[in-house]
Amino acid sequence: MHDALIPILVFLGVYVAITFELVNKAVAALTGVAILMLLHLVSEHEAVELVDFETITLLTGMMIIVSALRISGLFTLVSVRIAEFTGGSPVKILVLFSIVTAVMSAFLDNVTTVLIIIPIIIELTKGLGLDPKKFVISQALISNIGGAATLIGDPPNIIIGSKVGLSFNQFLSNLILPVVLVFVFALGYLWISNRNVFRPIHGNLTKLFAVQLLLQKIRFQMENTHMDRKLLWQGLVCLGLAIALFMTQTITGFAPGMVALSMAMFLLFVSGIDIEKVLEEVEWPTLMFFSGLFILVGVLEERGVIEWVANNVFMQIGDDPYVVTMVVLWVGGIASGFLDNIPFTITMIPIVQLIMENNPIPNNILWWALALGACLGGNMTMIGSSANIVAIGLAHRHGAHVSFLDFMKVGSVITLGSLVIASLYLAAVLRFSL
Amino acid sequence: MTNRDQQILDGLFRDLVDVYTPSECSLIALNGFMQALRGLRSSADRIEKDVSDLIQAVIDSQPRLYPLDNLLADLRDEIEKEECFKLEPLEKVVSSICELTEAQIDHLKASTNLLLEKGVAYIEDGDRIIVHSTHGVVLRILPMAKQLGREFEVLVLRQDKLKTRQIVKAMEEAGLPYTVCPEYDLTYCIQQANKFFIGAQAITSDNKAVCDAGTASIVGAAHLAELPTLLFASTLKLTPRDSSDQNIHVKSEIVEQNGTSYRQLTHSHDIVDLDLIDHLVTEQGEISPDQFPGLRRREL
Repeated sequence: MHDALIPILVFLGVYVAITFELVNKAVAALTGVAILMLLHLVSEHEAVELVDFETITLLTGMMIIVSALRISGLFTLVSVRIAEFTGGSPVKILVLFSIVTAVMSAFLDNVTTVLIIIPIIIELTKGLGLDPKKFVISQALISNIGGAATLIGDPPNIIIGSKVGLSFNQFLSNLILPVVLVFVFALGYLWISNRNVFRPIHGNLTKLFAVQLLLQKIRFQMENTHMDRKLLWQGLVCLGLAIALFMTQTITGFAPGMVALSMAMFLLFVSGIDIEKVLEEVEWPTLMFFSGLFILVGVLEERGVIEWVANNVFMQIGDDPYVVTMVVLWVGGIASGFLDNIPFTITMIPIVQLIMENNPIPNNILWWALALGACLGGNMTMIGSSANIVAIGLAHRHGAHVSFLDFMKVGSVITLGSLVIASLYLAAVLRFSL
Repeated sequence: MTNRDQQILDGLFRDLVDVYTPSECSLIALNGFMQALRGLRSSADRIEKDVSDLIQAVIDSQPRLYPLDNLLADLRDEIEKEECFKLEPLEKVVSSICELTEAQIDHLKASTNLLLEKGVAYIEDGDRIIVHSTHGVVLRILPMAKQLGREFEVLVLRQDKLKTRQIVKAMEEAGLPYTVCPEYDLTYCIQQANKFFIGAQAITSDNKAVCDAGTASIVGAAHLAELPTLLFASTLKLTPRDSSDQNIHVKSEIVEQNGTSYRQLTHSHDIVDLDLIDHLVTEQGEISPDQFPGLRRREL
């Protein structure tokens, strides 16, 4: 611990820069790494060894598949079809888009999901004279909820899965129930608290007529989007194969990162798509950010800082498994509301590992508590997750300003409700496990 | 019908007019009207007001839309004549109004087809025709002439990027030879051409044509260069209103460019004097302005 002061200061500096968005996240994390290297606190080779390449390859592979699907025009097609299906009914817009957002978030990353869903939902609601704010907030919240269900749905889950070695099926079978319950609760709350917005329009001829004009306008946009049907099918087949291989990981022994990257390379190979076009769409800053954070937390771990925090903070709460689980869940939930949940998760993983060494709670319950806390907690404020920030930014660009308070009024209630549901679920699982 | 509802409709119409031709917009609106009517859950005592309000809102839209305005005015008269609102139950009211709307759609299609037949006769072998807007009749006449074996070339005058893309797409689909010229090359483009084809939103009572934005300057230049300008419009576009009563939308926006910002005003449509038009072709053949009063549609 004696030589940990500089890494701690660097880490806190990076955290502050990320939380208050003083600089780009990737720049903040890699600047921290550069400082540690310049001060000879970590060498280049040690730094590379600290990066979790399982996470990086999983993210890279999925980003390539998603970018190919985006280029194929699939997402435009999907959003236009849902828009047609809603028939302009505000309740249907909320429910159908929420279902699609939740499912997409579970299998694609949340930022991609909101990038696809938010523009069309703003177009639809604005065209109908509805306030798009509520719909934008709802989809950001739902994307975080849906993302919590699977290994590949949300960065905290990807990191936990890769670092701890939990499979896709383990995530799905343990998290799907609480996520569905939270989803239903969130939709119910959004509907009840905005009943006047979701009034049916079937008694208003002008609105019904406006919907028809609006749908035609949206259809025109789709007709003018370049659709590459061959690439679309190739992309869907590769995504389907990747998910199938994630689900059969225990049989095949293929790690998710390897599967995602292999499927991405297979897709690039068979489609013959312009590689530069695909790589332009990959979120390199996110990958850099992850790598930087792995190194920063790795250095803290090597210097014994993580162990110290685990022993002096988390071990003080006793060894009652219910209390330990609730602390991990609620600390994760509340911290993720105000801090970026990615560095938080990377920091918490070694802490939870140490807690489990001293207090072996069965069935990976602490990992599910961390995953649920980190993913669902991101809904508390607009800075709680990348998807929230991107959704609010898109809304602003389309003329719908969502303030911090607007978001928090809805987000805090849904987060508290979600954490209560998650607590009840984890308590029930603990009861059956002990 | 609230002001907000009117604004929503106006905004949607403006968006559609930007990308669809007036006839396509009219078809979309009439089909949308039927769909909306079929989805309506109303009462017998409310439906008459709902339908009348909506028809009036569309007629009052900004910009005015022809032939839609004329077709809706006819539809309103037909509904009154057939006493649709006296029918029972409500489903019968809806189905009878939809039948009458279908008839208006058929009328529009027949009129457009007739105009295409008349229009194609104005294309001859060796023609070099300037086209600048996505006007449906113009874009459909050109492929028809190609199918009839006429050998000609199209000069696409590039103004709006989206519209140029649509014209180019239509030319390629029809296998028509074309060259794209930017608008700042207008004088050179005119020198190479022997005809200029345009369409119109409306022909007004003061002998003006309401055309796509950017048309007036080209028509003016063509007139000075003695390049014949042909305007294709069905008589459904003749209106008893004058050009100052066309609800042309003026968009005011702040444009920011490399650190400089300025307010820009853009009109959704141009007003073109018919004196500058050499041939006005309708589904009834070529007509001259002195024939208009007889063709003019009755007051809306």
